[in-house]
Amino acid sequence: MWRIIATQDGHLTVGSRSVKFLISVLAFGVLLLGYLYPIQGTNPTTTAHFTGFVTEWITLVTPVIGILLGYNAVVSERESGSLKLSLVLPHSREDILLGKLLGRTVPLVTALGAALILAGALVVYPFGELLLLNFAVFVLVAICYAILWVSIGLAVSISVSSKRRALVSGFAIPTVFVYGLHSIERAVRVGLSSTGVTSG
Amino acid sequence: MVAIKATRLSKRYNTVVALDRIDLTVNKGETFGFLGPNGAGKSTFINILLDLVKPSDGEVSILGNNCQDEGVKVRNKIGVLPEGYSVFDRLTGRQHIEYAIRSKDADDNPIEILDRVGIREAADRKASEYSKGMAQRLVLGMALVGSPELLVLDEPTSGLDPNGAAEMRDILREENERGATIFFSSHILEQVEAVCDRVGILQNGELVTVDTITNLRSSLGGGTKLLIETGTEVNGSLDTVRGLSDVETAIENDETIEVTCTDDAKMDVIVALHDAGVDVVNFRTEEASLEDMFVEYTAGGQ
Repeated sequence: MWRIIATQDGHLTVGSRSVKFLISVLAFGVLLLGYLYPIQGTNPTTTAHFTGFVTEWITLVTPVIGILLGYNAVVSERESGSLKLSLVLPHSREDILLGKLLGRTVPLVTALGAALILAGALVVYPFGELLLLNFAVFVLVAICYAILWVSIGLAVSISVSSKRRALVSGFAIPTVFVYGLHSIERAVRVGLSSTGVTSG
Repeated sequence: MVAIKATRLSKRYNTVVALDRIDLTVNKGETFGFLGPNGAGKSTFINILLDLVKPSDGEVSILGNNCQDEGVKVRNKIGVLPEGYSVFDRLTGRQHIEYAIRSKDADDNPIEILDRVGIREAADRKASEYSKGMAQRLVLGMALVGSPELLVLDEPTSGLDPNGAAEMRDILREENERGATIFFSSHILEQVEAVCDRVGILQNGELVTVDTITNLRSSLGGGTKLLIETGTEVNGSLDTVRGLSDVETAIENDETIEVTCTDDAKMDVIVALHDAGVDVVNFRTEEASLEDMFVEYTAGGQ
């Protein structure tokens, strides 16, 4: 039964222009880096180094897209009342939740996975080296990371009572845990190296 | 066979009692009207049937399945028109029906259903552009998918114009003739009167009465209203009429006397007026409407 919800929800989500735009931004960014890395990166050109090159972009953009996909999955339908139309049909709460999660992760995961594989091909061709196992693990981790953020968005969507609250708390989480920690980490590093505790 | 069986079903919200120990049995094949003023607890009862709300006490089953423990099974057998819903923004009317068909694993033709509820020509328009009445028809269409054994409709005629309401009643009759049980709530009495076999009247969370319309009528002092045109002032003779046995009320209103009494007392009233020297220009009788009964039943509870 979750398949029906997933299809239904996929229709509703992919139809949204902002979602399409953001997923494209993520995918094109990855492809662009795949193109630039062999030109700019340090030798030797391997997929192992490329993953380091692309990680920052993915960690930066994926949380925003994941939250954006997840935060209104339930709360907006509950606010408007269209959730009732699903609840009075023979769907369990669990099916609705699973369907929503899949309906929203599949477009993101497909775009991210495809972009990474294409970017990997750009790195390998013509002079690069493919470390298959290593790269496959990286793609898998990136996909899990995307699912994680959609799940966080969905969790927020279930637990709050209005779309506005979902938006605020949804975006507070990546702001604190991704961008915030990132900045603190950098500040600490700069501080440490300027005081000479660490070098480089 | 029993379609809906509620046993001591109660719902409390903090200190407010929304439903108070409701015992109700709706038989298979009947059209049951659930009547009551706004806030009486009708929607709470229906929401418990649909497992949108958990009961505080008691239990309710539909076609032998517990509504809370076997919700999916229950909802597979029933068609629902809830209240307070909204349609999906980005989907067309046809896609709404298709969603219900997939969800119930049915094989209906979406266009046939849209045709039945009268919005075939709007099938491929976004449902968000529909008027309130069209949305109501659309969701009724979703409820009809899979020819369910029981239709649960919460205020089905809200948002419909008189024509729409009449069409809704026709559809309910057709469904009932097909063999479906119909359970619907309403605060509009004529609707209930027109289609129901039995009615339950809910007041402040309590089921005040459950009976057929005919029995409700007869329990209401015979249920006849006599309207007598006199053409002149009646003066003291109203008291004479009121003094007759089997007369409940007598009111003068613009040279017309309104008397509620049993069927048998009608002639006595006319004769009494004649004897008192009042000219009876004309008279007619009216059946007491459900509205009169409704007021009678619920006014005492306030």
